[in-house]
Amino acid sequence: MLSKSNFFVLLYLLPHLVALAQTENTDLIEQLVESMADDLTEDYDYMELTEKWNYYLKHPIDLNKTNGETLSELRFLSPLQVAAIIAHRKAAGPYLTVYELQAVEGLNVEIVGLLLPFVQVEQGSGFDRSANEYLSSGRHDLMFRYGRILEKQQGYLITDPTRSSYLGNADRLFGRYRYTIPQKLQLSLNMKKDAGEQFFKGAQRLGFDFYSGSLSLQKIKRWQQVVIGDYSLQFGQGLALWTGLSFGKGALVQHVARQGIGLRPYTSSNEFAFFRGMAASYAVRNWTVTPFISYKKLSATFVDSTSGRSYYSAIIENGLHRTPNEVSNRHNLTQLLLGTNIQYQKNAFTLGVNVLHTELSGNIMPRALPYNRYAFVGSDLSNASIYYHTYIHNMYLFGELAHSFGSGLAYTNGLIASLSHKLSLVLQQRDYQKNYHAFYNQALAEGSHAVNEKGFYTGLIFQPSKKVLWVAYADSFRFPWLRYRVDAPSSGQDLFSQLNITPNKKVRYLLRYRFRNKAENGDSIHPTAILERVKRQQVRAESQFQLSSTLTLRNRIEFGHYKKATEVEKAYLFYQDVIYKSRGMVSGNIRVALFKTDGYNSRIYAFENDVLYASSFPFYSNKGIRYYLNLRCRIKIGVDFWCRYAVSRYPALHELGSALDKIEGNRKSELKLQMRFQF
Amino acid sequence: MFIAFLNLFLLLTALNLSAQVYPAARYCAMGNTGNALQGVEGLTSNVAGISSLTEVRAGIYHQAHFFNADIRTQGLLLAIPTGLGVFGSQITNYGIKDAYGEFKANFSYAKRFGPQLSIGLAMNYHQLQLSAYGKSQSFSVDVGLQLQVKPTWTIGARFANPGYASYDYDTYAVIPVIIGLGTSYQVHTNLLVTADTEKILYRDKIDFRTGLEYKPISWMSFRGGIGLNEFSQFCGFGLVYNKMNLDLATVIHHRLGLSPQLLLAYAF
Repeated sequence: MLSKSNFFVLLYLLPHLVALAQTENTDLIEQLVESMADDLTEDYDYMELTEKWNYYLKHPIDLNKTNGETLSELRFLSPLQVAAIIAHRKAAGPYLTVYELQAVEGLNVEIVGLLLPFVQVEQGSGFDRSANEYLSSGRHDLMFRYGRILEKQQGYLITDPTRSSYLGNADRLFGRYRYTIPQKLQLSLNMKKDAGEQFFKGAQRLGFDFYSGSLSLQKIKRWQQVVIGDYSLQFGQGLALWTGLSFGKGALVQHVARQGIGLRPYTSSNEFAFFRGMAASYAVRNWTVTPFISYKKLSATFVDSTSGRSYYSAIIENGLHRTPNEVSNRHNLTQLLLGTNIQYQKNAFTLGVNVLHTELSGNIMPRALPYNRYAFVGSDLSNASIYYHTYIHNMYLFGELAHSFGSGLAYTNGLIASLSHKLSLVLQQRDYQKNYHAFYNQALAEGSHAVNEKGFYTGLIFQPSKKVLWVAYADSFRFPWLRYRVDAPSSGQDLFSQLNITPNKKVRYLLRYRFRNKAENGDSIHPTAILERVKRQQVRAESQFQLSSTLTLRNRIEFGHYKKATEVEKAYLFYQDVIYKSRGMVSGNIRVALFKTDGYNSRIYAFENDVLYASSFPFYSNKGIRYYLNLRCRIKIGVDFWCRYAVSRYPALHELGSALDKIEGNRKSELKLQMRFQF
Repeated sequence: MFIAFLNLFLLLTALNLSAQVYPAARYCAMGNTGNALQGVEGLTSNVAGISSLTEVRAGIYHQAHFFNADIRTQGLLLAIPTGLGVFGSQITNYGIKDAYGEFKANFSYAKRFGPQLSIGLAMNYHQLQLSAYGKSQSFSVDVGLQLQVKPTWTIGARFANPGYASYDYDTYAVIPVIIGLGTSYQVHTNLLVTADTEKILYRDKIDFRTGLEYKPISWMSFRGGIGLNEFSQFCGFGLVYNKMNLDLATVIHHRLGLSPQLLLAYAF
């Protein structure tokens, strides 16, 4: 428990901590998003994360009621930290105030600062509210977004019906509605039209190309969660059953341990990784059972074989239905999924089992290339997995073993150990067989799917003082079978080191180095490819200064180096951000970035601020300048307006992009407008 | 055919890695770091590391390289503290049985100068045996020093074979000239972290290594480490029973696999 003097120190510190937390949310999103797979598309939707944070900002988690699951949902706490918060409550009694978090072992000032806005200690809690009280606490949230690339792209200019073109216009539309009764009910509806897709026409005659909705009820007697409509499932380490966001290797080293949050309504606009149907979690004592059923339509590349047996060569996950070809594949395959999860939890120990069966309406048969030799072929697949996680003293142990019936195995084990209050160690071992198949597999891996890989990850988090934080990891991996563009078994390493220095509450420095070494086919003209080592290096320096309570400056310089055989590419990126945040009507931020890369291979990724709930993580390549402006205008309480204008200029080029996305000229600009009503 | 090819490959790689004789188990498990560590294992790394010993210690160790019983290192360690300083000796043999051997015997001396500075010196006798070609021998010197900056923080440096001693005929086997720098930091009473950088002069590469030792209970330690240039992982554990030490370590080379080592030491 806190002593009185500490308590007053904290009261004094608190406003600073909260201010710190607000500016750091963006950094945190960036750190999280960066750790996701590199090959996610540029417009991948990460808003699940921001939406969750915004939800918990409005409806903070009660420290005295949470079993830790909701804390895990915030995504920035390590499993050990979540356990420490719960353990403190058990040892010292219920939290009297949120400031008491400071006294929890394993939480540093920065983490407490991040956490404070999302938690509360409810006074006089424990009585049941009436139905009317619940209904009156319900909130509506309605949001529309419009976006467009202002220059004409090739795909919209083609009128010749024999050539491929974009059938719809270049507008991007997104609509979202939520009705929430905190901790009881959530109604969600998402609607999306991508650029190039038709609207109330053609294949999209019902308006938007993608609709997603769900009704979720929580905590009705023993029913923890019931979702009708679209939902996501996250169990174990993600080997058999995981949809939605999953983070991989990155600055947040503790994310190597997946923290599955089970059944949740699906609220993202990504068009592939979710389930559609019904699922529920039913809890009896230490047991929770989550049966689920899903039936949904997928888009897949259809191959009409002349011999009469047609098949699908690949499932398309990007959700784009813009060209006649994409439209012809739209929703041409159905997927039925049935299964259940059973989880047992006692004290610090959790053990769970997933069993699921997937059936497709057609046969999947990837192209007959050597690297596809062990890929999934057929129309049905059954999976089972068993997973555990537990706390023992200062250690968190986790793992999962999964099997796809008739084919391979995959397993992973790991630990996070806080060896002292200054140093934590993270280890993860993984072995995913080349013939292991699962449709919703998002376990930690170097490759884009957790298959055909063996690896060992070692990470360290070292905090010698409150002002210095150093994280580093080394990951060594092998691919026992061939991969796309790698025509032999191969291996590689990924090394990462990052130093954060926070001399005071208003200044932050960051220094990062990353080295990646992988094999890839050489560019020789011989029919048999010889593997070459591809080495990528990244050096990043960043600083942030909070000039006043409203104004923050942030800049970054990053160098990249790419080497494959004799081919070398160098790159740099520099940007300056000015962030203006006020409690008044208008807030906003500006970035000006200069960049030069010798080629596409040395492209540099950087997170960009965007309108609320949207996010951009574009790469910078070639030579040019990019700038953007984000504005937020609080028109009145409950009505907000956002506007984003971003421009990239490439002085040396005459055309940008390729194929249907080609733009004549050297400028690409984008406008986004967003309106939100809360009532 | 494949086995023959593999043996040839391992042999050539082993010869090429001949300088890669790992230090004794504890240091080896801690990522092949030892420039700033104290202990009898200093005889196999920075000789200044034996200067803090207060009792006579003897050890014996065996390492099977790449889990291949044919390529191995065997060694004996002995350190005797006296009023004049700590005297030590090490005898090792690295090689392939009946085919190739690098024998090394040394005599070491280390002394503390004040509470912070330790200096050590080793004189080595090397003998190279190639069953088909005969023998060659040579003498070399190693120097090392350690500075305890704070009770929890030590830095160390060593220079192995500064005189560029070599065998008298041209073979793959060389007596490596090594410059090493390292640091160790006692994060907590039960947690020690190390980082070393070493350069072998005839090679282009500089190796960076880091390791840690965690002692959850007084009689048991867990160790681990990583070497970056020629990526390798290391792990091991140590047990103490009365005056007996048992240390187990293994090198995990990302291509060549495991090289386990066992060391048994006794304090008199």
